[in-house]
Amino acid sequence: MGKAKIKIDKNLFERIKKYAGIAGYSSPEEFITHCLEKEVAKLDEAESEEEIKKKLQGLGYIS
Amino acid sequence: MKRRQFLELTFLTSLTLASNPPFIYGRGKRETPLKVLILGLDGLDPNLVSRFIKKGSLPHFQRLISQGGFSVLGTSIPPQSPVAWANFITGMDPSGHGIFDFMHRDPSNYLPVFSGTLSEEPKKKISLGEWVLPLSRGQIKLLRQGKAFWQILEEHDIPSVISRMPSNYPPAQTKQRSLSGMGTPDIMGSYGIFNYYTTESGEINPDIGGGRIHQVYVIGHQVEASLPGPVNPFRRDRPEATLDFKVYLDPVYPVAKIVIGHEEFILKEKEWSGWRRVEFPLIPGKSVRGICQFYLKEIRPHFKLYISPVHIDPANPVLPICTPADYSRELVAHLGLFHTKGLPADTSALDNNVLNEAEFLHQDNGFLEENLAMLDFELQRFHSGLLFFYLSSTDQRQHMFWRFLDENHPAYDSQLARQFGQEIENIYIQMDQLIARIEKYLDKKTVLIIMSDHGFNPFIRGFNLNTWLFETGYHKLRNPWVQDKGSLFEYTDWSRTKAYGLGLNGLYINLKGRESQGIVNPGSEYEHLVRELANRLEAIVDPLTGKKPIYKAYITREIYKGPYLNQAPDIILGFNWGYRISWSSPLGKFPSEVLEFNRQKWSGDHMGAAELIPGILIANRKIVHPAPSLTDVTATIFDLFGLQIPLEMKGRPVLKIS
Amino acid sequence: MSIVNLWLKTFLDILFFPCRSFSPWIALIFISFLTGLFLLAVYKVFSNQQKIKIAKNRIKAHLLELRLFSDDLVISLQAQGQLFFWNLKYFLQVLRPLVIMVIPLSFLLSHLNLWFAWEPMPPGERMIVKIKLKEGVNLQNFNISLESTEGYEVETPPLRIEAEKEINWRIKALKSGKFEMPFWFDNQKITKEIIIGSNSWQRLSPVRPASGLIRELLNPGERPLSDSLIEEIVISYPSRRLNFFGLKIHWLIAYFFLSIITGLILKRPLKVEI
Repeated sequence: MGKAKIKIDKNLFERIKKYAGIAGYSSPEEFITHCLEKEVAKLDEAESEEEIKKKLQGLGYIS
Repeated sequence: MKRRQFLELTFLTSLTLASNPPFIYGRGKRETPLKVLILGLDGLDPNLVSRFIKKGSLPHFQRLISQGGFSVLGTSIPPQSPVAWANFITGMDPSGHGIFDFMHRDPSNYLPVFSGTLSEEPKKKISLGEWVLPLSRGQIKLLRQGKAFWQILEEHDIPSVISRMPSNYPPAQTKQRSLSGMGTPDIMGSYGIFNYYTTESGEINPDIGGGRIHQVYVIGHQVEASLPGPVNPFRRDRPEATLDFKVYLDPVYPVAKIVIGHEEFILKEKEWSGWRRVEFPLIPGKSVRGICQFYLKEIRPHFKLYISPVHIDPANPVLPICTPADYSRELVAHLGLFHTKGLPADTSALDNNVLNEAEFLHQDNGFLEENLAMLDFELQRFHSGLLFFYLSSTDQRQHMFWRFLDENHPAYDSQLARQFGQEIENIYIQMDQLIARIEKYLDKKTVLIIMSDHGFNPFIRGFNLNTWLFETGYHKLRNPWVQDKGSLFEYTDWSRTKAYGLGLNGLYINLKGRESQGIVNPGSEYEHLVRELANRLEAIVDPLTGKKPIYKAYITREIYKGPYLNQAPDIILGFNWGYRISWSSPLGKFPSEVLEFNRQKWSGDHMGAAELIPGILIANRKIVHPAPSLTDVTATIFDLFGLQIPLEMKGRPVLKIS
Repeated sequence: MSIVNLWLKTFLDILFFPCRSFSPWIALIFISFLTGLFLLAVYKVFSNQQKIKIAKNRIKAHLLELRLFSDDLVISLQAQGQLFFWNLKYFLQVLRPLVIMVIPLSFLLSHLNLWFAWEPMPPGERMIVKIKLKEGVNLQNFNISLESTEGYEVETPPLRIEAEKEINWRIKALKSGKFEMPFWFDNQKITKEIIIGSNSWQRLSPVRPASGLIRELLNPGERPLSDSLIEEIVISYPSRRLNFFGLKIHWLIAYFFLSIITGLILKRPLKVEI
C-alpha cells in the first residue's frame, strides 16, 4: 500500500508521541492512523444513515 | 444486520445471486369447478364507493353489488398495505406472518430496516487492489412468514396466477405464475429514487426524499450529465455506478435528442419517452440493466429533464421478481416492457414539485394501462383455478389528491381543485369501467371478488410521536438544544431512554435484553410502562381541534399471540380521523411541535385505527358473514375450491356458493 | 461500383424471392450453401490442388516424424523446421484463392447485411432519421425539410446538432410498405427509401450514402447521393438477431458457420483439396 506524508504541528506531535507510548501503540504513526480511521468510519456511518433515509423516503410516507 | 449492510440493501446481493430462484416446472393443472378472480384495489374506500354509487358514477359496481354483495372489510392493525395484504396472503395476523409495518427496527442499533426483505451480501470475497470479487452468492430473503395461499393451492394441484401481490418480494417459492408487487425495489435498492436535471439553480434542493436534483448547464446546445445507478460492489470504495448521457438541443425548436448507452431518442418539450433501457457498467463483462422513463419538462428558458426511478428490467431481471423465472420475460414478449417497482407512481416527484399534477397523472395512467393490458392477457388464458390481480393507482391517487376533497385541508388550492378535484372520483370511475372491461371473461362458474386492504381518510394533522416522548420524559436527548436537528436518533441518550417511535405506527420500549442499550426491565416494569404509555397516548387532546389524535393505542401483546410477536412494536398507534404520524417522526426525528399541520400534497392516508378505515369487499356472490375481515377472504378461497381451511388460518368463509 | 451493386442486388432479389414468406433462416441456409459451393469452386480453380496436397502430406509426415522421434533432439528440430517450411508453402498455395475470394465476398457480405442485419419498423413505432452533412457545411443555414407520407408521420421539427453535423427527425411508422422519403432543400428534392412492416423479412437499406468507393461498398442498398453537401441519410432501423433455440445470434456468425460446414461436407464429393 502506498504512503502519503502529512504535516502536523510539532507540539501536537510531541503530545501524540507521549500518549502513543502510554496507550500502548508501537509508534506515533500507528496511533495517528488508528485515530483517523475511527473518525473516518464515523463519517462513513453518517453518510450511510443519510442513504438509509433516502432509500426509505421513496415510499412517500415519510420525509 | 450492520448499518453498512442495510445501506446497500437488496440490490448488492443480487449481483452475485443467480438471476432467479430455482423452480420446478409444473404448476397446478387441476380443472376446478369454480374459477376465482380477485381484484385487489389498494385503498378502495367503502364510504367513497357508496357515495359515488349514490351519485350514479359507478353503474357497474352498483350492478355487481345488486347481483352479489357488498361489505366493509376488516383491515389489519395497523392498516398499512404490507401488513394488510400479508394478512390476506397467509390468513394470519401480523404475529403469524411477522410484518407489522413498512419498516421495522434493528434492536442492535435502533435503525430502520425494511420489514419484508432481508438482503445479505456474499460472505466470501477476495480483494484484488481496488476490486472486490465475491466467491459465494448473496441472498435476498422474503421475511414474511407462513405459507402463501397459492402455495397451498399448488399442493392441491390448483392453478393460480398472482400478479403484483404486495408483501411478496422476492416472490414466495412456487411453480405458479407470480409477479412481485409493492416492496419490489428499484435498481438502487430503494423504494424509488427519481433524478431531475435542471439549469434553474432555485430548484436545487439536496434535502428531498425519494429523488435527487442535479444542477446542469447548457453549453453549445448540449447538456452532459450522468444517471446514478446502483452501488458497485466490485469496487472496494463502493461508488455508485453511473451512466453518462448527452442531450442535444436544437438552437431554435423545442426539441432534443437524448443519447444514453445504446439508446438514442428524440423528445419534444413536455413529451415522455416511454420505457428506455439503461445499462450500468460495473466491471468489464458485468453490468446491471434497468428501465426508466424520461420526461423533457422544459427546454427553454430553463432546461429540465426528469428521469423516473430505474426499474428492474423485466426482460432481464437482475433481481428475482417473478416465478417461474421466465414469467416476466414471457410477459414482455407479449406486452412489451412494463414497470416492476412496487408502487410505481412517483408521489415523491409530485410532492417535491418536480412533476405537476397533470404530469403525475399522465405517468400513473401509463402504469395503470400496463397493468390492465397484463390483466387482459392473463384473463384470456384463465380457464381454471385462481387469478389475483392487484392495482395500486386507487391508493396512490387518494394519497395525492385528497386535499381537493376538503376546502379546509391545509394543502387545498382552489385553482388546482377546479382542475383536479375530480381525480379521486375519476379513478373510482376507471375501476368501474374495469368491471365492464372484464365482464366478457366472467362465466357462470367465475366467482369475482373485489377487495381492498384498507380505506382512506384525510391527513390534516401530523403527530410527532418522538417529540411527545421527549417532552413527556420517556425519551432523553444528549443535547436537547439541538432537538429538531438530526435524525435516526442521532442525539438520543439511550442510557436514559425508555421508549422510542419508529415506523408509521410503531412505539417500542427500550427493553433490556432486546434492545442493545435497553434500560426497561422485562416483566412488571415493562408491563406498567406499556399500559401507562397507552393510557397517556389515548388521553392526548389536540388543543387546536379538541379532538384526540390517537383513537386507540393497541398494546400488541394484548391483541396478538402468534410466534412472531417478539418482532412487533410494543404499542401500535391507531390514529383518529384526520390524523397520522408526522412526516419526520418515523425516522427518529424530534420536530419542535407535537402536532403540526400537513401542508404536503400527500394529503390522504390510512394510518388510523382499524375500526375507522376498513377496506371493502364486493363479490358476485352473496356475502353471508356479517363482518368479514381480510383473513376471511383467504378462508373463502379454500372454501370455494372445496379445500379444508388450514388450521393456522383465522378466517371463516364469507361467500355463499350457489 | 453502382453496376456491381445493381447486379448483386438483382441476383439476391431473385434468389431470395421464393424464401421471403419463410423464416430468414431458410434463405440464410440457402445462401450459406451456395457460398460454401462458391468457395470450393474458387479453391479448385485458383489453387494448385496438387501442390496443396503435397504440402498437406508433408505436414502430416513431419508431424508423425515428431511423434516417432520425440526422444531424438536433432530429428525433432529438423522435423520442426520442415513443418514450418511446409506450413508456409501451404499458406502461399491457399493465399491466391483466398485473395480472389475476398473481393466478391466483401460485396456479397455488404449485400447480405441489408437482408439479415435489420428489421423494418412496425406501424406505430418510432425511429430517428438522420442527415449527416459534410465537414464545413453550416448547419444553421442549411434549410432542409422532411415531408410526411402515408407510410409515416414526421413528428418533430428538424433537430440540428452542430457537434455531430447532423439534422435529426423523429418519425412514426403508420402503414406497412415501401415508401420514399422526400427531403427538400433549395428547391431540390432528394429521396431515401424506407420500409415499414411487422414480421416481414426483406432487404432494408438503412443508409443512403454520398458517392465514394468505400461508402458505396459498405452501403449498397440505394444509389449514392449526387449532392455534394450531404454525407449520408440514415434510418435507425432496429437490429435483427436470428433466433437459434432461444439464443439471439448475429447473422454473420450463423452464415460463416454454415458456409464452413458446407465446404467441409462437400470437399470430398467435389474432390477439392483445401
